[in-house]
Order: sequence, then structure tokens, then C-alpha cells
Amino acid sequence: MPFRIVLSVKGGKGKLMHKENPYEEVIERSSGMVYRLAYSLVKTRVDADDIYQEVFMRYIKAGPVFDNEEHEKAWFVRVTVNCCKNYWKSPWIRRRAAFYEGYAGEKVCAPAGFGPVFGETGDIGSEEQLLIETVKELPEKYRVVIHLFYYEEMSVEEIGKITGMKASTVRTRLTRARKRLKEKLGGL
Amino acid sequence: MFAEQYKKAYDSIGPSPEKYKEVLINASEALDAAGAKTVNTAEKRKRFRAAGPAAVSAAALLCVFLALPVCAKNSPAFYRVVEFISPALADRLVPIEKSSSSQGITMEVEAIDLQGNEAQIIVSMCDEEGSTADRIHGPVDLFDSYNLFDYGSETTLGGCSFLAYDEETGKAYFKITTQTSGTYRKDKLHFSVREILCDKSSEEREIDLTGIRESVPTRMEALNGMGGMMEEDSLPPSLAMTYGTQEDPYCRSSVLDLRRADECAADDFTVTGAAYMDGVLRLQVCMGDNRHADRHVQPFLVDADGEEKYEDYSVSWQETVGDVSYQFYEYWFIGELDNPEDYSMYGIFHDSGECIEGQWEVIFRVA
Repeated sequence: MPFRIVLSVKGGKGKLMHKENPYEEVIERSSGMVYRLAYSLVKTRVDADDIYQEVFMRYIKAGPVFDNEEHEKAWFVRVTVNCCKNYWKSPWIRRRAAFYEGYAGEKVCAPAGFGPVFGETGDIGSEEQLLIETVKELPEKYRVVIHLFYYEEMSVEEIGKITGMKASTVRTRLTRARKRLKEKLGGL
Repeated sequence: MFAEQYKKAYDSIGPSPEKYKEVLINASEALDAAGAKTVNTAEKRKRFRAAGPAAVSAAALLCVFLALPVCAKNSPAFYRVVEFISPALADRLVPIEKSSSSQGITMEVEAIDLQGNEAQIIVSMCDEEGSTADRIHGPVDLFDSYNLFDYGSETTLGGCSFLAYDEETGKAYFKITTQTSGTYRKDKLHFSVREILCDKSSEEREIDLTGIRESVPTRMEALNGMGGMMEEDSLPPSLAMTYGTQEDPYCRSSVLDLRRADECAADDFTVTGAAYMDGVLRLQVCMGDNRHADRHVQPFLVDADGEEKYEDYSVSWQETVGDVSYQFYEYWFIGELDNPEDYSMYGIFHDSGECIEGQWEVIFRVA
């Protein structure tokens, strides 16, 4: 096939298995992880959709060859975080955010898909929803480490390696993020 | 405890099946296009059709947009167009993102720049979600039916330019410039559009000047429009106008008395005649019933050396036959032609398709 050999997780250890579209396995495997990370960083479905699509466009364009599953995951985490950073760099997005923050302060509804809209996370309990919304209020630098640590169960060292931070910086950010969440949610 | 809760909460979040499918389709398309080892996403995502008469050529626009990194997608299409044409305006735009639907079409006020008594508004039009009518699929025209109202004063001057059509989202983007007599209030603004013209097209056609006559009867006609590069005072005596009075407010001018309205098509152009008299080459065209259309012509006179000349002046009037109101234009090219037979003429005929009347209106404020 023209692009690469894809190591299949589902096909069993050491067994190469291709679907008709060689991208499909990788997309299927990384889809949820990319989307959740994007959502935790950009905070809305609409924007997460854009980032999600962007990440896989980059994947298709770049056609990286992964040594193993960890390598693949690290690549997608790094690209997703980078795409989110680029997203926030966009002057339009920054201005839009500032604009609706102004709106929110005066209790004026922002358009659908923008801002912390309850109910967009589907059928989850109110506690989980509150938790998601509380985490969303943290600065982006804290949300990255919280998500990778608690959802992706990555170690502090792994997070540091992928995000280009020192492990000690990751640890500090995790501690500060936990402290902030504790103030708002209790427990932890 | 937190870890469990966090995982539980995020377990429910994922891409929609449609989005997932879209990504897979993109991947399949990439494979299909993969005679080469890499996929040129820029090519694959070719999606913009830029405005023809834009300040920069469409080709240049396309090159720039297609060269943009994919992540620029995070900004709407219009923003990238505006940023390219006028970075200063892009920097000033305040997002509005409020929409209104009517007649199966959704209008969205995307952003605005309000400076004193002037406003620049970025508006998009697209088929309403779920609509199968496919009315918005390229350049459209708002037919000068837009208005920005701040509950104090209406728009007194306005202009609308088509920016781009985004094939991926099906949105046609416009920049509308309005001006009012006072300063716009920012706390409550009302923007509305009443008519949309779809399926605009233009075609270059030869206009036959063979056997052009040098003596044609004329008549005085009440005008509803006039204008050109030349001042009225400088027009030759044969074209002199009579100006309106309190009793008869219409300006009148001499026009070729050739074919009348009932000999013309109501829904198409009819070149009703041409003549070269008293040092003026006159071309007369009937646009048909233009009340809900925007048919117009740009004629060019070409000399033996290929030099092109625009008309110096033009006048327009209407003739009504039953329920149909025919719009006539007469274009005047002023100046002696040594040998009229050495000249040729062509015109760009701009036609428009369906005119959709509706009520698209949004109320917003500018923070």
C-alpha cells in the first residue's frame, strides 16, 4: 500500500492487519482520545469538532510511521495540543472569546456552541457535568495536565516529554490545578 | 475519587458519528488521490470561489487561501478573506454571529466594525439546515435591500460587495458598508435584508454595428436615471436635457425612437438599436422587467487599434405594458468617429436568476 504499514492493535500481537483504508484503524483508535483532549482544551463541541478534524487532516497529510502504540498516542497528543494552541492564537478566536466573556458577564446568551453550555455533554450526571464545567474554568495550561494525567493516565514524565515541559513544571501545575479544583469542588 | 469522576464524565464525550464519518471520508479521498506519497490537502480542500471584481484577483486570493495552514480553519472563511484584503478591518471586526432564517435561507451577521457614523458588516447567506432547495451555491446579490437601523436613524448610504463563497459550508459572504447621518448607537442595532438575487451570471456578447444608421428618429423621454464620466453641462446640444420642474419632476432627454417595449423580451436583454448621429454613437438596450432582477450591460466600443472605450454617459427610463415594466438604457459614446465602420462593439451582459423576497433580520449590540 502506498503510505505506511499500520501496526494493528486489534489484529493481535505482531500481526499486521489492514482495513480497506489504512488510515481507518489509526483514526478509530485515536478518535476518542483526540476529541476528548480537544474538548477539554477548547471547551466547546463546535471548536472541538474543528480541532478533531484538523488533527486528522494533519495526520493524513504528514503520514507518520509509528513505531508502536505509545509513539502513536504521543504523536496525536502533541499534535492536538499544538492545534489547540494555534486555535487560541487566532485573533478572531481571541476577540470572539473576549466578546462573549463580556456578554456572559451581563447574562446575555452567546450563540449556540460557544461558551460553557450545559447539556452539551450528553446524558451524564449533574456531578460529572459540574466537574467538567469547573475544570473548564481552569487556565489552559492546567487543563492539559489535568486531562492527560487523570483521563489518559499518563505519568508526569510522559506529560513533560510530550508537551515539552520539565517534569517538575508538570508536577507544579498539577498541584496548583488540584488546589484550585479543591477550592471549588472540595475533596480531591 | 476525582480521577474516577473525571473519567466517567469524559467517557461520554466523543466525536459525533457524522464528524467521525467525515474524517474517514477525508482519509478515503486522500487515498483516492494518492498516486503520490503525500496528500496535498491544500488541493483537496480547494473550496473558495472568490468575488470576481474584488480588489485583488481571484487567482491571487485562491493562492493565498490555499496556502494557509489547515488550522486557519479555526477562523471563519470571511475572516481570512478580510484579513487578506484589509488586515486593519480584520483587526477591528467585532463578532456578532446572530442569524435569521426566511424562505429556507439563513442570514448570519458574522461581524461588524462600527466607527462613528460608518459601519462595515460581514454577512453570510446559506441554505437553511435541512433545506434541499440549493439556492445559495455561488455568488449572490443582496439587491441593495439591506439596512442597518439603530432605532434612531436609518442607513443613508450603502454598498455591498461579495467576498467569497465557501463551498464546504455553503456560505456566501458579503461585506456591507453603511453610513448614517448621525453616529451609530452601539447598544441596539437592527440589520435586515429583504431580497436576495441568486444565480448571477455574466456573458460577453458581440454587438453588431454593421450598417449602423446615421439618421434615426428620436423622442423625448422622462428619465429615471442618468450618469457618467461627463458632466451634464458638457453634453453636446443634441443630447441636451430638460430639467424637472415642480409640475413635472422628471428630467427628459432625447432617446432613439426605435423598438418599443412590447417588442422586447420581459426576461432577457434586447438590443433595440444603435445609431451614430451628430458625433455621438448611441446604443439602446432593453433589460426587460428589472423590478426583481438585476440585468445590466457594460458596453465597450473598440477602435481599429483595439483600444476600448467606455460610454461617456448613459440614461435610463421605464416603459410599462400591462403588468410588465420594461427598463431601457441608452449608452452614449461621445466623439467624432472618422470611419464608424472601423469600430466594433461588445458588451458584458450581467444577468441574475431567481429573486427571493424574505425577511432576514437580527437585532444585536456591539460590546
